[in-house]
Amino acid sequence: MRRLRNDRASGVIVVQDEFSGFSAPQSFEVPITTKGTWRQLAPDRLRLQHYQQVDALLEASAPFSIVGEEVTDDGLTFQRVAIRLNTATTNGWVRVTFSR
Amino acid sequence: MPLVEASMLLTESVPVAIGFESSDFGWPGLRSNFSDVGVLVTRSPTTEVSALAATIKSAGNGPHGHDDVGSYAISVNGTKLAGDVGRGNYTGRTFSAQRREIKWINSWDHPVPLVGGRQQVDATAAVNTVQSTSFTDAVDDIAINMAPAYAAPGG
Repeated sequence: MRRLRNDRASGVIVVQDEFSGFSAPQSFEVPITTKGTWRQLAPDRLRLQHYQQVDALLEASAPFSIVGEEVTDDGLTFQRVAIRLNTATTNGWVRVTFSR
Repeated sequence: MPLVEASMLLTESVPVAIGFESSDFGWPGLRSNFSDVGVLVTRSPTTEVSALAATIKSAGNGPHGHDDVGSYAISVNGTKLAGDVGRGNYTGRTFSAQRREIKWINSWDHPVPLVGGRQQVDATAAVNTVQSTSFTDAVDDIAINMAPAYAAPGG
């Protein structure tokens, strides 16, 4: 289940993914993609820049790693930053909160 | 052009009418909800400092679609900062049996989960999977069941 919430009063947009009900543990990752640049401000925070900038606060139900790569395919180059849970699990969640 | 990328055009910095849907007037309100094709565009008034906007896609859109159920994009004053990165060059490969090996057509370039290392499975035919919506002047909220787009057991 994915939920997107635009909280205008707080000035944030939250994207949360929840998964459950797997019969066996599964690896799980949620990527943030961008044509701009990104850098890690803290273990749980990214800054994305492309003329403007936005920060992404990362939270998850379990410890996670941030894995970035540049991808090029058929004329398109972009950055893919995965928020990857460190261990497989049968349920959990990942939440990304975008703010300026 | 991917639907999410196309709908980002609707997040340009324009006056936003608080409390009205786009369909009420000829210019954007706080949101445009194209429920028949599964695309929501949610904006913030340009008078606010943040001016964050987002678009999210909740359904497949036919043979030329991408595997991008749940794909979203985040913009600031009409500039896309994160999310769906759009498309590359159309070539013979684009319309061949290898079409879904292209990373900007399959799930790889879309901000959607990998579950058990698996991408979405030909999500182009996925029906609208919206589970709930709540729209107010303060908050727009949409929940999407992405399980039909994956082969993962239990979704």
